[in-house]
This record gives sequence, structure tokens and C-alpha cells, in this order.
Amino acid sequence: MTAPRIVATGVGVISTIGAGREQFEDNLYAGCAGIGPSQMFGEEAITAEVRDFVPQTWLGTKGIRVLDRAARLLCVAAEMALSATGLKQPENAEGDPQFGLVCGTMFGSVHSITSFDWSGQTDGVKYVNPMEFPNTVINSPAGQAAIKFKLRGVNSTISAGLASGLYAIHYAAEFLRFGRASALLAGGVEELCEESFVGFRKAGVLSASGRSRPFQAGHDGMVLGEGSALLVVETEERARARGVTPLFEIAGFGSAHDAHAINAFHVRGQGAAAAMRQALEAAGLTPADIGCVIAGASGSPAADQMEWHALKEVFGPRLGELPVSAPKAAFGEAMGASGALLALCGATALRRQHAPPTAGFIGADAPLRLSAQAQPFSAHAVLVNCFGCDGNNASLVLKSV
Amino acid sequence: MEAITTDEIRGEIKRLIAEVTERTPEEIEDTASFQDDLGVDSLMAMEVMVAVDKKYKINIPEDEFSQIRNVNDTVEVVQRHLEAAGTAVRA
Amino acid sequence: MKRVVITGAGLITPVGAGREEFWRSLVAGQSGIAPVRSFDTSDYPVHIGAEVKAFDPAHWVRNRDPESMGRGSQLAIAAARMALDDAGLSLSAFAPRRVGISMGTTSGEPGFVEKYNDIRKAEGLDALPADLGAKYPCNVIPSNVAIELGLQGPCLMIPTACAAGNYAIGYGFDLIRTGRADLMLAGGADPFSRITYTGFARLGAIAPEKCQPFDRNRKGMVPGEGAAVLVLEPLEAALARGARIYAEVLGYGVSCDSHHMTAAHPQGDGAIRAMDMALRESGRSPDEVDYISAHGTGTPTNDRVETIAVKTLFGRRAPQVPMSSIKSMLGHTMGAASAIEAVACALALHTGVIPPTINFTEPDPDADLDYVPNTARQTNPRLVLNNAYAFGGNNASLCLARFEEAA
Repeated sequence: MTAPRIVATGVGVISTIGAGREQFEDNLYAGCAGIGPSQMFGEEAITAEVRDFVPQTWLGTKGIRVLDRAARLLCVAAEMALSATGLKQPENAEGDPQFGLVCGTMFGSVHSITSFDWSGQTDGVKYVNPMEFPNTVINSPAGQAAIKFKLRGVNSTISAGLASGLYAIHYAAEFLRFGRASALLAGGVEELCEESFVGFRKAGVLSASGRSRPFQAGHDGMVLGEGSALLVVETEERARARGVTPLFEIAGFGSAHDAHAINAFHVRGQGAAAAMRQALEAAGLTPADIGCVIAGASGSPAADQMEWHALKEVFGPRLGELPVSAPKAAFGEAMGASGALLALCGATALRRQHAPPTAGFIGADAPLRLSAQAQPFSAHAVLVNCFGCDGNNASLVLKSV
Repeated sequence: MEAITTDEIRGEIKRLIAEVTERTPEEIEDTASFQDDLGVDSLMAMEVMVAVDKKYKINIPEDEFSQIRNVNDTVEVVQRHLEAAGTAVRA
Repeated sequence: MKRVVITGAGLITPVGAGREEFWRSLVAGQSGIAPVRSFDTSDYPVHIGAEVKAFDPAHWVRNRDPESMGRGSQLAIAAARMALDDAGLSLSAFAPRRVGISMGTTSGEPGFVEKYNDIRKAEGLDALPADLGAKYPCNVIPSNVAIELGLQGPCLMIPTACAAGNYAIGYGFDLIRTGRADLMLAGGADPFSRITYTGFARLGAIAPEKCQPFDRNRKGMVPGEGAAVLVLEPLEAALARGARIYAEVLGYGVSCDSHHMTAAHPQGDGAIRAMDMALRESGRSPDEVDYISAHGTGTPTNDRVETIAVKTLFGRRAPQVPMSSIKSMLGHTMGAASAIEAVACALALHTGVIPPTINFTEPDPDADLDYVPNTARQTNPRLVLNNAYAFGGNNASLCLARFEEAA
């Protein structure tokens, strides 16, 4: 018996460079960047936030009040993904007990939990609003989305730092392989908030120049972003049976931990290289089969250097010819949402047979084939990377169907 | 503390109920059942209770609050607690 | 597909540390619930909790400064070290990339949220230390364990609130079963937190004096803290090294009520589906189950709905299946709870004794099953279910069996 092929059949996305698959892809390939003055923290602060976010545009007016920003972003992505693939449940349907959600996140409910505690510490315990308590749990966006969209199957929240989104897609694919679900929404969400922003700023890892320049000369840190991206994943057999054309195959996943530090990249990148090799092996491919690399590089010098080392180790001399794209130049470091956003970039690259532009690219700090223009390739597979400063490394191989 | 009118209390209660049920205050009738007509669940009810306590600096016990069925009941309970705390309530 | 067995257990709980002390307390029906000591509860309507007493992080966190991490990570590291010792394993015998960790939690490291707000209130945000942010991400607990022990394989946190431990054990089981890892540490951890306590207090869900699941006069749950880590490995590896096998993991089931963030589905829809899925995946039927470790928080609703769910799935046999809640002794240790309860299930299978539901004095007409009241019982169970339910409508049931070679 061969393991069933797991494919994606729909996409929902909301990010600083656009809402919906078309807008996201068009802006990505036009080389647009969503980095600029913050609406949340004042114009001095540079972020890659979802500006002028009006969830009602997609979700209607009811039931939004109780959702925090992360839940709103996730529900918007879910609404788009479900509508795109014809799986949205009618108003009074019970919902498919085999249809669920797997959602990656890095900081989870940090804003809701901090606000809840702040209220207790300033207003007094007696005046804390109990309605805000459910939002303090890390899995609250996933729970809220399940209620809103009648997702009655598995509802897992997955946290693996910056690699969360890729881990979530892998976790969903495993559930489908085991026959534990009919279809799943899989991806990630992260809201930008004061707590994570202040935390990163204090740690000195944000770009002082306010520019996201992965792998580039003068890179001086990351720009924080946010958003949500979800894929509808199912077995190829089921997709075809219901008359849906698969967009791409989720072919192989790899993960390795550096076991080194919670806030420093492992310069030699052995964990990152191991993750890439495992993903290739799981997909039954070799480095020569890969058409382009969607890098996780965010403009943090240590992270960029580590990824470069790891790429060199896996691809050897061929690296000089291999198109590489660093989309975080466009949408910043979207933390728990990054993996799913990058996977979407990889899927688009496969379809267009062009690696996405690296927005604003002027010249590399490392000998990698990056470009401000889309770069053509001819291949049936791409590699997507997410490497975190806490040692969590994950890679995903996508194949065309 | 300055005297409060029952109309002010009524307006505040309707505003809060409207907020938690995502309606306009005009849609909230004085005798509409919170639970059956307006879909207020236990969590929403607690949210309203906390907001009322906070607004009027009173402390309505939970068992008393759980007896409340509609806007009229709420106004009456709030009025009673305000008066017990020495705040005048005018009609 | 490989068979997966549990060969080690490490715990830090309100009723004791380490497998032996934990199990002795449980079988003796000892409660770990006491007045809260870690913060002042005078503004709260309730004052009891289930805290871990006499925990010395420096004894367990040996390769880094224990103060460089939160209490959730410290508890998890202690549990992980104990689990490896209990299994008689040395990590040097494994390829580091083949050893992974999978943990569950409700709040992760909420202590740093408290610290953030305390500093914000006292001195303003400018006074925040530079390293605070990196200590918080939801997955920091398994990362800290991986760094302390040098685990270089998969490293994941599944923060699915109070059902998280079962989710994490399930993921570890999957990785061993499919041959992606040779050894998995899997469990859950949650530190005591004023935030959790405030939330449950505001919901009116905390019992004033004691936790008495399924009793007619039950008045609520009691927040607690703790950590448990299980050692999961392939059966053939365990047999080859002559390991002591506590139990075999057969399968698990998960579902979502998609009904309400905090309230269970009134007919137990998701709970039934999770148990059913766990049994189907394990190739077993409800008729074979001879012990259920209940979620059993002690809130009026949870215990009523869980009883309905068990009755629906088990039918007329339901009253014959003993179902106890060790939360009567441990309180609700949040994301650690179902991992601790999974250890209890494994030990019940291994020793033949099922732990009791203590504080049980008056049966409830709405909850009329066999809750193993007050006294542990020798029943030699062969197949058990471990139930866990959570905010967000999450349900997870884990199915464990007594190890028998020819299963």
C-alpha cells in the first residue's frame, strides 16, 4: 500500500501585501513590500502589519466583538480558504465531523493574556471581565474559528517558534495520511501586538533602519509582521473525487532542533541542513530536483548567515545557479504565520515556474542567486525553509501535481 | 455622589446588553428575556454584571444577578444596591 | 507501523515528585490541595490551589542557569530527567536527531506575562529586561528541555489548553509509529499562575474547599500546576534492551465541539467522538474498556456532560466501567493534566490498581456511574481510556493497553 498523496486545494491569506490569493501573489511578483510606519505603535515604528484591517469585509458584522486580532486574522483566512474550495458549510448545517483546523502560532494569545492580567492588576480582580478569559488560552483563535466555521474535526494549535506554520502543515498532512480527517485547514496566524513588538525591540533584533533586507548588504535585523495563511489540505483521491483540481502536493517535511540556545542562531546551521535533507528524503527527491528555494531569511544577520551555510552544505556548488527568494523582504517576519505565507510563495513559484522577487533587493551579502525580479526555473519541486533563533528548524518540499 | 436617574441606569444597561449581543440599544426591549429573546449566555451575563459593578461601584452578588431576567429587573437590582450604598436614585 | 510502548515516566505534581511518590499518593487517596502560597488571594472569593511544593529547579536544570527560564520549563526539565532515569535510558545511546520532544500546555510561561505587567506598572515598559521576549514564545518549554538534554530531533509544543497533554503524547506516538523518531519524550507542563486563577475565579468555577468530582455537592475545579513526561519508544527497542514496559499506546482520538469557547457541548458530542475515534484507531470496541480516567474537573457541567458522553458510547455497560478523576487529589494541572493522567493510566495497567475519586460522599442522580469512590481498587485493567477536554471545545482521548506480547 502506498501512502496517499496529500494536496492543497484552496488558499486563504491576509497579509501586509494583500488579502486573498490573487492580491497576495500579484503584489509579491510585482516586488511590492508592505513595510512602513505602524498604525498600532505610532509612525516612528516600522512594521509589516495588516493596515486598515476591517474583518467585517469578510466576516459580516456579527460575532466579531469577542475575537481578538489573531482570531480575526485567522477567521478571515479561513473564510477565504473555505469559499475558494467550496467547503464552506451552510448556515444551519451540522458540520463535517472529519473536517478540522491545524494552526501554527509563535506568541499565541500574548496580547489577550497580558491585557487580562493587566486588568486584574490595575482594576482589581473583582472587575476583570470574565468574557476576556477564553481569549487568554493559546488555542483560542483556533477554537473561535472552529465555532464560526463548524470545524468539528481535529483542532490543534501548533507552536514551534518561527517554524510553527510549516510544522502545522506537516501535522495536518500526517493526520490525513492516518485517515483521521477528511480535509483540514492548515497554516498559521500571528497578530502583531505591543508585547511581541516591545520584546523584540528590547532584544535588539529589529532593524534599526526599518528595512527588511534578507541576505543583503547592510541587513540589520528584522521587521515584524503579522497575518494569516491557511491551506485546505486533503488527499489527492478525495480532491479528485469531489471534482477539485489540486494546486500542489505537500511532499516532504523535515525538522531538527539545534539544542543550542533560545535566542541565538546556530551559526554552522547543522540543524537547518538536517531539516532540508530530511524534507528532500521524505519527498523522495535530491537537491538537483529543486527548482528554487523559498528562504526563511528575515534580514537578521546571524539568521541569514546560518541559512546560507546550511544551503551551501545541502546544495553544494549548484547553489550558485539555484534561484533563491526571500519573501520576508516583502511581508516581514510574520512569526507563527511565516511558514504558511512562505509555503504559499513556494506554491506560487511552482505554478509560475518563477521564484518570487526579493522586494527591494540591491545586492547580496552572500553569494546567493537572489533578485528583485522573478527568476525563471524549470522544475517540479521547491523547498521552503523556516529556521528559528530558538533552534527550531523546519523545511517543507512542495511538488507540482 | 450625585443623584442618578433610573433612565440613566436603563440607558446604560441597554447599551451593555446591546454591546454583548451585537445589537443597537433601541432593539433591546425592557421586558425581553435576556436568555430566550436576546441569546445572552452565562458568560455574557457575567460580562454585563462586571461592567455594571465597575460603572456604579457596587457589588451585586452572583446569586442575585442570576435571578435577573430582563432590563427592568436589572434596573431594579442596580437601584437597590445604589441606594444601599447611599447613592440617591431619582425616577 | 511500529508498536509503541511507554517505558518511563517523570512527574512533578501537587501530590509528589517522581513515579513512585506520585503513585503512592494516588493509591492512598492523598490530596495535594492547600491554601495558595505563590500569591496573595485576599482579593479573591476563593483561596485554595494545587501547587507543587518543595521544588528545587537547580537540582534539575544543570546545564544552564535555572533562572534563565520560566517555571513551566523548569518543571518540564525535571519531569524529563526523571522520565529518562525511570526508563533506565542514557541519551548517549541514541543518534541525537532521532530523539524528539512533544509537549502540551495551556499557558506556557505565564510568569513572564505577570513580570511584564509588574514592571510596566511599577517602572514602565522602558524598564523591561532585554531577554524577556525570548523566554516567552509558546514553544519555549520543549525548546528549553531540548537544549538542556541535547535533543536534536522534532521539537514541538501543542498548546491545546487542558487537553494538550493527550495531543502531545499522540504526536509523539505518531512519530515513533512511523519511524520518524527512535525515542520521544512527550507530556505536558503548566506552572501555577495568578492569571489562570483569576480567570477561573471570575467564571465562578473554583471550588471553595475541596475538589469533589461527580459528587452531588461538587462546587467546581481547583487550579493546579505540574508536569509529566513519558518515554515513548518502539516495542522492539524496548524488548531488545529488556526495558520495563508500563503500557502500550494503541491510538488516540481528537475532536472539536465547535460549540462554545468555555462550555462543553450539552450532549457531549465532541467527547463521544474523541473516545470513539481513539477506540476505532486502536482496533478496540467500547466493550473491552475496563477503566476510564475521567477529565472530571469537578465543575457541575463537566462532570454531568462527561457522564452523558460515557453513557451514550458505552450504553448499558456504562455503570460497569470504573471511571475515576484523579483531579480530586491533584486539582486541575491544566496542560499537564492529561499527561499526568496518562501516567496514572499506564501505572494502573502496570500495577493492576485503579486510583480513586476522593471526596466522594453523595451520589448525584445526574451522574450515576462507578466513580471508584474514595478507595483505590485492584481490578487488573487491560484497556483504558484517558479523557481530556479543553477551552476552545477541544477533546482528546488516549487509548492505552496492558502490554501483552501477542497483541
